[in-house]
Amino acid sequence: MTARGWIQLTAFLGLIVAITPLLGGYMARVFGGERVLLQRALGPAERALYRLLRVDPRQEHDWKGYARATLAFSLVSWLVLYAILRLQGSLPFNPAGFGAAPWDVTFNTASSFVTNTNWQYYAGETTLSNFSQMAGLAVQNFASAAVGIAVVVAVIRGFAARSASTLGNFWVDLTRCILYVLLPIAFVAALVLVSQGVVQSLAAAHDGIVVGPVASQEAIKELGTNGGGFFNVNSAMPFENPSGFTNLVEMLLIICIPAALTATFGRMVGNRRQGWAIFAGMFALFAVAVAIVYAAESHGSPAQHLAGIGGGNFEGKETRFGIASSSLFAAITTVTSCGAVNAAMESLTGIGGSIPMANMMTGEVVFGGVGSGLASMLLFVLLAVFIAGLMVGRTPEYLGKKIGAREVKLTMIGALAVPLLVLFTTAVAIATRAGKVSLFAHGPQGFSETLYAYTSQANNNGSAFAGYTGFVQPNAPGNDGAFGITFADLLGSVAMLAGRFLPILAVLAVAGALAGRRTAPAGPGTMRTDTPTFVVLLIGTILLVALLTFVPALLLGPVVQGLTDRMF
Amino acid sequence: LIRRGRRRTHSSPMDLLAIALALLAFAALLALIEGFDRV
Repeated sequence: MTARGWIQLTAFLGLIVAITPLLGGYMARVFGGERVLLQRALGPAERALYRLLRVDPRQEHDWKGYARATLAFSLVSWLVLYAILRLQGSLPFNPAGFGAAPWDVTFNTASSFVTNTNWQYYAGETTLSNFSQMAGLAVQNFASAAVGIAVVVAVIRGFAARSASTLGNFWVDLTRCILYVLLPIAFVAALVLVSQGVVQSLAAAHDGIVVGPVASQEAIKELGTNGGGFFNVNSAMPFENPSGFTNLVEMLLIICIPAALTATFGRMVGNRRQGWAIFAGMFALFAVAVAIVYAAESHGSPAQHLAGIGGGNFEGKETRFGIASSSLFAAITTVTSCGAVNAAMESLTGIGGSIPMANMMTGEVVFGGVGSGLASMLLFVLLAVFIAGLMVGRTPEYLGKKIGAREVKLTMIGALAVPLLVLFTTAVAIATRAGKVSLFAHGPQGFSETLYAYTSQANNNGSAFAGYTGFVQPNAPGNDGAFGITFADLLGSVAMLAGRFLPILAVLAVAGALAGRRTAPAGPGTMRTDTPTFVVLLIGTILLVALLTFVPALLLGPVVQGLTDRMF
Repeated sequence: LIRRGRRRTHSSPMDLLAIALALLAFAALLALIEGFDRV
């Protein structure tokens, strides 16, 4: 550990605090239907899209209508993406002449990108054409991110409404999100990345090195917390992330929207302190995670020390980023459900590697994915309010609305669906012959690979511990003779689809129920939810759920490995 | 014609299975909306 490293980490944390109210305020204006700076330029495109889609922007949906529109859009996205990927051999912009990847791998990839997971069993540069990357994956990077943000905006409206029956119009939220938030930021970010050396080309290779439309995909990959890299090694590849500066830009892109949405929440519910309270809970958990990963990686592993290698753990890290930036990136990418990586996650120390896994096991609520993170965090807020209500013997209420039995039941379904999904899929994968085919390592490392794979997929993160696979390419590059491991591909797809949409449906149902509730003024017995006490309670609730669910599994994998001097 | 189309696009009967599985998954999620409404 060095002073420079700590200064770097602290400065980054400061940047997040600075960006949050600015971007959060802007998004509140966008989703409040107010005029924004880009309205004059993009307004005609917005209206043309409504006419094309036959959408009446004044017509609002109740929670069921909003949920149906979300699912319908995602299903169509899935079908289109699957078709593009499977037909890529007959489609243009395929300079390397790649045929399609096998159906099961494609099933996994389509489920992955539609759910904002971006788990990748394939390596982009040896599997996909430029058309698949641009028209398939990059488009889904925008679309799936916009779906997440649209959902949380609807949820916020439900929390903020004073006796209403609707949550907004899904198509309007989706369109405004893409036009006024994602496209402008991604466009500017792509230009910045190109200026720093990130490649942007339609050629197959340059001097034998694969190139492609990387910068345009890189920008939205980070901004939308998607994380699926153009190259297999993701942001560790110099063509995706060439310098310390681009690394900083990419880290900021990943975290800016999930953090800023807390400020959007505060503004839309008419009490900015509520937004800051949620931000504080997320920020505290994030800062601790960063500090632990940095300390663990700087200290190195017992196995490394036994081999006579002193200093920090540099295995799997890019020397141009170093330990501090790699640790920070590892923490950011796992708290936000992004999944992009600039270092090999499997090469982290036992304790260092347990933190990214633990970040995902909190249910991706520590900032979390764009939209989905705050939406799931609001479930934990309700859970904390409910627990506090039980402790003091009062009816729980949040933002002046009484929380009834129905909301608590739906909250429990939403909060526990993903952890149960992780444990179930991991157990099936580790206990069956078909599941073990995907393993690379054995012992605790093999268990960690499996646990990480299904934790990542069910939480829609997408980062991988490496090793665990669902795709074999014997004649790389290209897909001739390649085959998928159907069991892993389909089980992972189930985890991703259920992990994405179960919490979304539950939180929309909660928002729909709350929207119809009258708001009562705060009385002397009302528990305040914008105080440090509540923030501590919220953090405790998140940790309690995660610990009770996952400690046994963590003990079997990364903790065992962190305590041993054996190499796995 | 189907065989020629398959050769060209590398498609297989498994693609129909994949699409059917996806439709089934989303149909189950749609049904869940009604389920959640009754909670």
